[in-house]
Amino acid sequence: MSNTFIIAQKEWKDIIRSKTFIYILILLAILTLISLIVSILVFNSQLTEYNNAATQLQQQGRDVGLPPQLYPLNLLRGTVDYIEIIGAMLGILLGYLCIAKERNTKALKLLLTRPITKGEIVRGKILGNTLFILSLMTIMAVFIVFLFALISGLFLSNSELFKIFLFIIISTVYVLIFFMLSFFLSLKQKNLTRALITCFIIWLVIVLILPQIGDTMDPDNQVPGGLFKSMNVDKPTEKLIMSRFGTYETIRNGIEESSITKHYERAVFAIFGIKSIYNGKSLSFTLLDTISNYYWILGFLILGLYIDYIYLSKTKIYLSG
Amino acid sequence: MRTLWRKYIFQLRGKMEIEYIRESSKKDIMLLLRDYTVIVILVVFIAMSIASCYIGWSAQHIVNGVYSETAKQLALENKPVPPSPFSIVPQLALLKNMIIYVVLIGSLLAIILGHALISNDRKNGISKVLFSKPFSRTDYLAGKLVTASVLISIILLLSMIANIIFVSLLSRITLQSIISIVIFYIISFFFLSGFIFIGMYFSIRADNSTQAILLPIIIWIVIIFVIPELGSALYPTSSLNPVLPDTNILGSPILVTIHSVIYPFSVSEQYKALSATNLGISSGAQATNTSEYPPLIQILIIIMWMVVTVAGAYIATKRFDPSLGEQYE
Repeated sequence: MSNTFIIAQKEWKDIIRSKTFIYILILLAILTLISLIVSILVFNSQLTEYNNAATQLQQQGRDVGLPPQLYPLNLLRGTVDYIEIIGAMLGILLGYLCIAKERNTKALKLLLTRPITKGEIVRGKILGNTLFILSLMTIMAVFIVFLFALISGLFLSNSELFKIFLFIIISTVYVLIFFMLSFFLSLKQKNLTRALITCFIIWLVIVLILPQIGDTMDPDNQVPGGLFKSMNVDKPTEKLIMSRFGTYETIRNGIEESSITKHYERAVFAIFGIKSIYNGKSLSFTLLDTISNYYWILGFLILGLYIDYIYLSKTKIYLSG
Repeated sequence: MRTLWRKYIFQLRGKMEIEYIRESSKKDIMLLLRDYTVIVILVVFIAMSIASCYIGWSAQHIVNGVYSETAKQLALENKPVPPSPFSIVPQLALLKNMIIYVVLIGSLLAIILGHALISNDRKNGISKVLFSKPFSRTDYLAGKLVTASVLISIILLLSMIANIIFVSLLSRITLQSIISIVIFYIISFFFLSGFIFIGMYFSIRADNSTQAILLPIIIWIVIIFVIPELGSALYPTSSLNPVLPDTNILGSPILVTIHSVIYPFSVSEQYKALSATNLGISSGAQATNTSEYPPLIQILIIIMWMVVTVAGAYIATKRFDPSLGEQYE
């Protein structure tokens, strides 16, 4: 077995044995359960509200609109939000821990006195952690499918299951990007605590601040339920009006696009139909319409791989302390 | 560093408690300044203050423009033009983002500050040496509390000054607005102190530095995202927007029951609602179709939050096992 695989196997075992990740797994499972239950209750509440309104309208002899439609994958909005926030944090912790434990015990120094290259260590660690993230996301997805059946009696169709599969892949790549950032900083910074704090600050900016700024700057978000909806403005008119604020919208969109989290959110929201325009559309249409987000995610992944594989192998890294 | 600390500890013997608290606070502040932790937190806070004012101002500016363009377009199409939802803009509306930033960024930075205050001692073996001797743990904790209070007060004071300057540059400011901003920062002090104490609690209790930072962050996630989702059916990322989406929970008796049980403990929602009321900005209650507590109750909840967390830090310090010191890395 090559050195890379031996290191990957050791990484995997270390993570599984660590209590920390049991906490993360339990936390993610509980959050998924909570968000799914809350989403179902909110949907039922909307349905009750519709039924009450429909009864009144029928009594007055007026037109009753369509009832709220249930698209099961829409109910996963909270789960996607949590993967955005906690998944990124998990990636950072994985990257930090896989280096911190070996720097503290000076195992990295010892390893490099053996016939093992820096590149093999980096590859082994990335491979081991990628497999762990993939397994974690798969467990989460199985749990989601199981919860759907258990809580609401819903059995997902084949196309919905395929969308869940895509969710596993995109989520794994998303978490992996944060892993690579923290992995890099943990090897390049002399002080490990400072490396972790730097990672958390970057996490805050990328995951929470940039998307928050983008959302806050959106004129439509200034009124609960949406400004244009409150003014009975249809989509084409909304687009026409917003085209007069091109520069502002470009800046706002630029802020959002600089965050990998926003690309992840846009891609998954489209697949799951959480962004309502994609409900009832074919998967190929959805994927093509949101293709730029995949390019961005891929771009961040390639950048991370380049920095971790090539840059780290050629430059000085801190092996202890 | 370790020698310096030991010399310092032995010098302390025989001195008065107050003197210890003062000296230990001074030493902690110097250490954190040298470590850049405080500087980073300060820079982030000032940046937050400036960003919140600017974003608030630019969003307000654009939204007025969008409304007038919409009104023109609707008039052209002979459709009725609804009144502007922004005809009455509160004077301190520019600061609506600041509330979110304190909840989101401030609380996490406060945890890091609390963590740094204790973890430095544990990594250097100071806590082990100190707690193995007939030394008052209350004095030790008091020293940390003074340090935390001084640091957070300085950070909030500078952030407040930045806010007042920017609000006066971008909008009109009155004495009443300045008083509201001062009150907002006093409320923020109590709110953030709770997170510092949580950071301290886990740094004292945890077996290693990873758990010491991970566990308070899990608590942070629960307080900032999970409790509001359970209590008010707010999606985690939606609760970050100063204007909350429409989520009517009144249609579900189960959600209403969960809300009535959880809402009193949702310290982040209480803080947001209290700060919004104080700054004259509408809070999220209309969006979630729920009623709020009176400000006095909200203040009491936030003070209780601080008291409970400080009590937790006190109990953790009293129960600290010095033999754990060497396992910490």
